[in-house]
Amino acid sequence: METNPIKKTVREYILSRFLKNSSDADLRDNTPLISGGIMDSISTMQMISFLEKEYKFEFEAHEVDRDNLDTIEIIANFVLKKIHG
Amino acid sequence: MVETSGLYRLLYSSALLFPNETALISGVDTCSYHELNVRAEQLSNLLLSLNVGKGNRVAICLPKSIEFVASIFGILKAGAAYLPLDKAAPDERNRFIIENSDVQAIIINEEQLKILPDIYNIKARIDNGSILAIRNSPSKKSIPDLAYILYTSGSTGEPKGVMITENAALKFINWSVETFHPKQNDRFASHAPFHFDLSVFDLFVSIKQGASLVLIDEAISRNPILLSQLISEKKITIWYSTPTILNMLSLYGKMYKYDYDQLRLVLFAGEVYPVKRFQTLKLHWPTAEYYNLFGPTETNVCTFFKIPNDITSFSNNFPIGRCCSHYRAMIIGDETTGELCISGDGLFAGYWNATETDSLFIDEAGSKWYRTGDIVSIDKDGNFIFRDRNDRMVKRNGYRIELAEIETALTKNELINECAVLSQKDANEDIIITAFICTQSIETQSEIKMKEYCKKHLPAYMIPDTFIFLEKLPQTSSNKTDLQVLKQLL
Repeated sequence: METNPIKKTVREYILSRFLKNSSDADLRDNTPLISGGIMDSISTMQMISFLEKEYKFEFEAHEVDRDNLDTIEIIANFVLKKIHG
Repeated sequence: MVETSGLYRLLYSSALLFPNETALISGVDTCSYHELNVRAEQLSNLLLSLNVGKGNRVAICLPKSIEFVASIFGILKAGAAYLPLDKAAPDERNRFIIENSDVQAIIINEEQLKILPDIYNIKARIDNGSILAIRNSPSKKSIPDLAYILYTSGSTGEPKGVMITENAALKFINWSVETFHPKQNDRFASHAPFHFDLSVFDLFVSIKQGASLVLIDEAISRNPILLSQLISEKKITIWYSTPTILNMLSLYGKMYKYDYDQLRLVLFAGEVYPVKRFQTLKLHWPTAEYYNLFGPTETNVCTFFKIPNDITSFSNNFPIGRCCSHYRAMIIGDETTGELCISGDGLFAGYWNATETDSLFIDEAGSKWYRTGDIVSIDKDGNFIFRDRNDRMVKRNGYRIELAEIETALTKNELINECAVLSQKDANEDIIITAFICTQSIETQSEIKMKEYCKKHLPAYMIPDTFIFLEKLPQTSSNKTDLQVLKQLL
């Protein structure tokens, strides 16, 4: 059972948008999203736009990078850092 | 004295007329016409000293850079054809292309050396650490007058090389100059990667006019937030890309932050740009002139349509317009709808190493016509309207994808017994690719594993969006996969 609310929200978004035929258990916190072929450049922008609206912060241009977006774990940590400044 | 190639002449002339003007801008680096010409000459001399020249092909596997452009002109000056590789493509795909195209030499960087087959030996280091490797025995096949070979998705399941001659490329470049009137003080963007045929316009039209070309590297090219800033800051005046990129810019680029007063011409090609999405872009770039360009790699642009100021009469998609002046077009079918066929000097010279070329041409009224596979109709103003394809090729992000190539890659996976790949359009007119997969056991039925596998074996734009797992594929009475039944499952 997922206890981290950011991870839960991000996981649900990925499953509903990019992995429609996968289950919650298939998608792990460390499943590679961009390097694993789950998100391409367009879906990455959709994810960014979703995160910006959901958590009310803005990505700086240089933050649009695989290093901040490649797994649920990394995304959750990045979001946390952004919203708590 | 080696005869200089037609395309190299474009650089040579501009280097004489505008030696100190900026030819290329790449990040903080710039390169004048004189410098670019010197670098091209040096490479050309090196290639010729190693017996690489007329009739040969030279592959380039580098990031987009001043060096890449200098390599292209150096290869052309030596009389060879350039073959640009996609360094982001899976290694096995690039290796296939190198072997299939029988290139005599490769210009490559340290990072990509892993794709180099054993029969190539490193001969020299060129500037910025890139490496020239030469085949240890002369390549067997020689075709003179080719300018470049671009590999695209092939219906046989393997990529195929579209051969374009110097003369065909020049026809397109001259048509572009006559149609769009680019000036010496224009600033072109080079957004498309060099293995994509949109780059032919950026590169050669800007060099012919003595204008400046801003090279946009891979990382920035797909990041709309950086891209929107770059177009404004670098004062781009002429932009050419796929609608996918323009749409990403207008949706995610935060364009309200910048001004774009200098942007005067925007060209798009490679796929349909829905009118609704175009309107969003136009809010940000209200004063630019827009053109919808159309054509496969085999013709480069063959029809074009200038988007009028008032677009209220277009409800869904723009026409692909009228035939370019260096071509003739006709439709085979009934009077108003059928397959678009193109004749003229801009046509490709065939596929490299392929036998399927003949069936793609027909002889009619004493001319050779290329059957594009595009089903079009004509509207009341005489413009062509794109309807559909007559085969299993789809366009996504401007790239063409033969669904058979995805099936071939999936079939090579030992865990997959059989598969079929279908495409459909969603509500936004986007192409969605679905793979139906039959695996040996339930445990291997993982969409995530399938995407990971595809990422290793296919370019990113070919990775299916969804995977549906079935026990077996439905069959028709003649034992073929029943695609109609599968369509019901989409």
